[in-house]
Amino acid sequence: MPQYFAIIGKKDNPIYEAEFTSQQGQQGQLQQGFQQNLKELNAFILHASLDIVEDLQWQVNPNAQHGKGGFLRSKNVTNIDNCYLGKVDHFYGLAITAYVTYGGMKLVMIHGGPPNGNTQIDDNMVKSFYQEVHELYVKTLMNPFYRLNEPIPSPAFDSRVRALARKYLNR
Amino acid sequence: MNPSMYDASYVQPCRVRLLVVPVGKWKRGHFLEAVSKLRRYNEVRLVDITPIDSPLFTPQGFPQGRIFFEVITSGHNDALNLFLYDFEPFRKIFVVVGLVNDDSSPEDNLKVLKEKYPTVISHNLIYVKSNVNIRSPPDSQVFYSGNDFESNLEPIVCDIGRNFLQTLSHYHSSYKHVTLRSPGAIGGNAVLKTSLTRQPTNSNLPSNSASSSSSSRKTNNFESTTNSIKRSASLKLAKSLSTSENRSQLRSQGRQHKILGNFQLLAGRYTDALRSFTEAVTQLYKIRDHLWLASALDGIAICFLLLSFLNISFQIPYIVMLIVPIQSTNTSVDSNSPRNSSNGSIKSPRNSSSTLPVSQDIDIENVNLPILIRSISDKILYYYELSLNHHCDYAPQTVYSETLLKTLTFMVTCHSSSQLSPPVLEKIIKGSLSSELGPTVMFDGGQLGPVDGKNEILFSKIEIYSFANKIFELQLKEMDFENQTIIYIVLSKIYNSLGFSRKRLFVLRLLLVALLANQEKINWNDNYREILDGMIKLYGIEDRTPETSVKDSQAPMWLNLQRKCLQLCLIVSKKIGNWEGASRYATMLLARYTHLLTQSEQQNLITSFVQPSISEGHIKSYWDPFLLRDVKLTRLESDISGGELPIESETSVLDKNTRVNSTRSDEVFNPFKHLLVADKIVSEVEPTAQNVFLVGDRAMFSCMVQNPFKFEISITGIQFNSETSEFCELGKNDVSFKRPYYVGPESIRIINLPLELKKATHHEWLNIDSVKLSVMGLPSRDFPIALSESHTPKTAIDNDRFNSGRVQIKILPEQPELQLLRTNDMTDNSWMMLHGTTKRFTITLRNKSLSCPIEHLQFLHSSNIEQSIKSDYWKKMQLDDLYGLESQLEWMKNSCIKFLNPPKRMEPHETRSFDMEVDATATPFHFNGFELIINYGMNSNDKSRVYLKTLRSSYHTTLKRSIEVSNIDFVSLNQNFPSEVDHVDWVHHLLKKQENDNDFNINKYLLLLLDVRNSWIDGIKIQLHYEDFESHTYTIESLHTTRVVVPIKKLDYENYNFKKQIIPRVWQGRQYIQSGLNEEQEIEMRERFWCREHILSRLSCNWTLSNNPCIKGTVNFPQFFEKFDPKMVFSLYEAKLPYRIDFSIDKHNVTRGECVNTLVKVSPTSNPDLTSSGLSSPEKLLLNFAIFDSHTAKLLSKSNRRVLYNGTLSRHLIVIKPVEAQLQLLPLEKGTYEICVCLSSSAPGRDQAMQFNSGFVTFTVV
Repeated sequence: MPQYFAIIGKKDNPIYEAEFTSQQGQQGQLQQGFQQNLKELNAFILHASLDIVEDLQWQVNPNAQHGKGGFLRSKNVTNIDNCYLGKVDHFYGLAITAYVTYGGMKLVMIHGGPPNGNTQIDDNMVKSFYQEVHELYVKTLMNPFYRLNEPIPSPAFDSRVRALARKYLNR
Repeated sequence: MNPSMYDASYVQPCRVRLLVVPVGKWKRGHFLEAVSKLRRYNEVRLVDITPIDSPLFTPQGFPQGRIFFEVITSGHNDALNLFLYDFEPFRKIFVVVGLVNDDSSPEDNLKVLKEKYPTVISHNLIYVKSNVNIRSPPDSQVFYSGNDFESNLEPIVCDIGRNFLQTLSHYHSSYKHVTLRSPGAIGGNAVLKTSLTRQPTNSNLPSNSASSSSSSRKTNNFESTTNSIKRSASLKLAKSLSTSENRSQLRSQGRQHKILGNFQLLAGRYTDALRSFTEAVTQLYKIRDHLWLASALDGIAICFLLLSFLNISFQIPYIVMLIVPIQSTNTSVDSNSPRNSSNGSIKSPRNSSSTLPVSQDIDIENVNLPILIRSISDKILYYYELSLNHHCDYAPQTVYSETLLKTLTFMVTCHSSSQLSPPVLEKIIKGSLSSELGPTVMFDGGQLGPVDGKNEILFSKIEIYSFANKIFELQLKEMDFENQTIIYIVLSKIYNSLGFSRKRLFVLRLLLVALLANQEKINWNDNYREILDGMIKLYGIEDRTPETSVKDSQAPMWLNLQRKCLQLCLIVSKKIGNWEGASRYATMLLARYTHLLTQSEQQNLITSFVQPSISEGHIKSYWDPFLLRDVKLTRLESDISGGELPIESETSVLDKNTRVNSTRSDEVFNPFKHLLVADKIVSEVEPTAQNVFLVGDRAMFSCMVQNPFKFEISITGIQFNSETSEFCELGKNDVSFKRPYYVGPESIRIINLPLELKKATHHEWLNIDSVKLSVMGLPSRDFPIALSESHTPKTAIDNDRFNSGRVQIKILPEQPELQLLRTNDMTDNSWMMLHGTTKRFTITLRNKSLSCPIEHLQFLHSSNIEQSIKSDYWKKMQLDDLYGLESQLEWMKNSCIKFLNPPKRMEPHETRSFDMEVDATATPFHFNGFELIINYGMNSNDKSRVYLKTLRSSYHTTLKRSIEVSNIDFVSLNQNFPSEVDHVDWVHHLLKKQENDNDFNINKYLLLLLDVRNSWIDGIKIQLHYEDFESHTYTIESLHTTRVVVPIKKLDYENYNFKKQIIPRVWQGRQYIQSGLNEEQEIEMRERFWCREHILSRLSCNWTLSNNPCIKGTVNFPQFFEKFDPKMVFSLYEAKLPYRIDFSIDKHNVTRGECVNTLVKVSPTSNPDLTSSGLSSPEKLLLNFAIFDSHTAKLLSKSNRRVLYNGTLSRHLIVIKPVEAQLQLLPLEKGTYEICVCLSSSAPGRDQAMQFNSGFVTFTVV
């Protein structure tokens, strides 16, 4: 299942974009990425879901069923679970998950699914992925030559994110 | 199509569709105005309508009721809805109204209307402009509004309402005996079945343990809820539904009730409608006719709202409470926030269904109506989904999606209040969602959770959103595009109300894409323009101007998104024929997003959008402000001579009194460097100084233009702006629309054009910072010179993305031109001359200019000697050498070349001659030519400036040696000369002196011997002069040497105190730190120097060629005289000696045996320096006599037999004052003897001769 992942800055500007396609499926067949028309649309879908992310970000209890808190629960929660907003949006068969860093960067991902049917999201895996990418991002921030809110051009960052994607998302 | 017209009101089924058509000759504006007036009266109270005789629909039955007309001007797609009319009759157009503005016959018009709209049940005509104001009869279908259209409109609409009710009653009666079939049953495959992407109502789906899909969770909740109800209900109903006849009867009855309810809704009979719907629900529920059941439930919900709106109390039927279990507000003890209660309303049934009071209607006051409505809607959707399993009684997608939309609209409208307040209700019933773009009034709910009960909200944003998202579970693409459009437009309005601007944009984008996909069916309307403009604004594209603002260019944006959006807008604009917009988007894309566009995209842009827009005149100016990168003006090497540029300077430089600032800090002082006028110019040289031109010059204009795009651009015109073109103009060039300059893709090209300089700027600089360019046939405009990219934001500048450049030029007026026509007696400016001669030439000059006089002329020269001197030539030279060199240079400067009566001013085209004299007397031998420099120029018009030019002409000289002095020597004299040799010139001179002077002493003279050589090929006659001595004329053959003797008087200390005379300096002002000599050496140098100077200043020699007396010259002795050596100085300069020794003898001729007395007088010279040591401690001196044989020059020994002497030959002396010593000699042999005395120091170890007497004393013994 392909994914489209982006880190969005404060002015709705992508500072990092990537599309993950699993190179080798479990059955050994080559799995496809997004269809071409979806590729075009992905950015728009992701952009549109930012509205929801921003809304959820400030909810005390955005999604009671999930047992996950919104951002404002952070004072009672010691871990960084609350950054992960879970599935925030969907568009046809695509599911969108989001993660907000404390600095307000939005990590958003579109999960492609099977042609017909719902996309299954393994929350624990996705959360781990986000948390590790968050860690990478914080490391990038510590680079004195990197300025906040600017695109991350580092190939090392890219390759690590892709490695994480392989580890957590496309198994 | 007007997109803003669409909305999905929850109470849509209570509105009567009324189509207005123009009859007669309407103008669009007038017609729309009339329609909008009609719209204002779209609500008719039943109490205002005259009763009719139909019991079901008479307005009397429910006077509080209303008829809502939905005035439309375009018919919906009838074929599309045809199958839905039985199921949802409100979709039908019931009333058609013809607006007539002419006097055509009402009967004919009605007939036409009926022919054209056969399915419409009520036909009406309104005569707008009829002069006859006839009150129409009660049953008439024709109305006359008279002149005052608006004021009579209300009764007319009431009458139309009455007509409608009457026809509706007929229409309904036709349904009475019809078996109502579902749309799917009528239309078959033509009716699109709802297709959900998720599995509908598959209740046994594994409950997505790890999935975070909230909506599916909700559905699961519904399922579990409804399943439990289904179970309890089916148990109860099982008994009554035993036979199939029973079932079909029930079904048809239920459906009949449902459609009756719909008609009653339209007719305003809301309580009756509620009753009919309740009946229908009860019956349909029993037989699980899900489709019709859902529709009836929908009707019930609408009745609730309408009754609430009319403030009529009603009770919620039990069956509704059964199907949609909900906690009534007074029984609720749950203190949860209402937002939770909305969730609770879904969850609660399991808990509450058993505790619910049995078979009892609930008062509306006890129920939270919006939540009930929402729950009913959920239920409706659920039943629709259930119906999908049926082969014909399935819910069409249109119905399903519209239910979704209207529920959404409802939720959004009453989102923020806890109850339905009258204003909210009014909005729900009458209003529509705001269609304004941009953030409208945002509701505060959902931002931060409500704290106190007063701000409780019914539906949170997220709740509404997740409901809205259900639409995307449908396969919208398969729907009719008209319905798609409606969905998207309503969604966009909903998102707008929620404040989800990005979502809204997304939906608008989907809308545009959908429209493009179905474009052939669409009559595009200008109203889409506002959608496009709104999109551009919301994506932040419009406010961003990276081409002019550094801040914008650095601000991070989602550029790809913006680009795609722009491209979409561009295509849509083109489709709707909005070329203006299309060109705007195209230029935006090109100017701001070039780097994101591929070559084919750019090519496509230029060919499909930009070029047509340009030719249509929609694009007014070129989009890239960085077109012009650089400008250069170059002066062409002109073949017309006189293209030389003058130097411009202040007039004051010509003033001789002005102190010349010739020393530049970076240059060592060099006095012999020629002081040219150019040096005097206070340089006002700027970096751009090379951009100086003359009026009429040939010059070239180069401009560098940049094309960053992946297509070719053409420059179709280049001009200067008006300020510049006053002074200069681009010459004739072919740049035009037909013959443009092409600049290749992604390249920079330099365009060179001839430049015409028209008018002088004089000393002002003309700034060129922009050039008018026309690109691709666009009107030309000024492009500033974008020299380099700027990264720092600047204020107060229009465009801070680049550092602007400028070119400064100066155009000087026309200049005179001096021409050297010829120099007489010369070929090729070269000649040969003999060293020591002078030569005169005539130079002819002409002012070539026909208009400008030469107002200043200055003649200068510069020879190879001066040019070869290094600037620090003086640094390591001794003072005496330096003087020699510099005095020669000074002579070169002042006397070598002379201009005799040179012209001061020359009129236009005047020719003048003057003489130049070249003197080769004292020139160094390596002199081989000089350069004639003529500085000339004219004043500027206002006399404040002067323009100077320089004419240079080289002359070459071959200098031939004539008379040289190869050697010099001094010989002292000690005896007089016999008068026989009087014919020798110098003897003659001395003898003459002797005669005239009593004190004449031959010892005071000495002879200067000069070896004079003739190096020329002809014989030369020379004559020398030294003071009053004049030699004979000597003729020296070619390459021969003659010794010439010159008698010179010795120099004595009394008259010539050289040691105190410092060596003069030709040029003052240099700083010598020290000469490196001690005092003695210094004095020695001075004596040597002055001795030489003494001789040189007095010695002269003239010569003439023996065969051509016209050629004559002088000899320049300083060049031939080496520095004097000490011996020369010693012989010449007496003051050198510390003592004066006078040695005399009484007889010069004696016979053998005769006594000779000699007397030596030794006295200290009055030279105090030399004897100062002697004064303080008088030195003991030894005086020695020495006797020589004059012939053999051998010293006689102390004891010899030739000359006897009386006493000793050595004496000790202390010389403080004059001392005398005598010696008596007695010669024994014949011969000539010489005697001399010698003073030597007597100190031990210093046995050195100090001084001899001057000259030998000789006596002869016979």
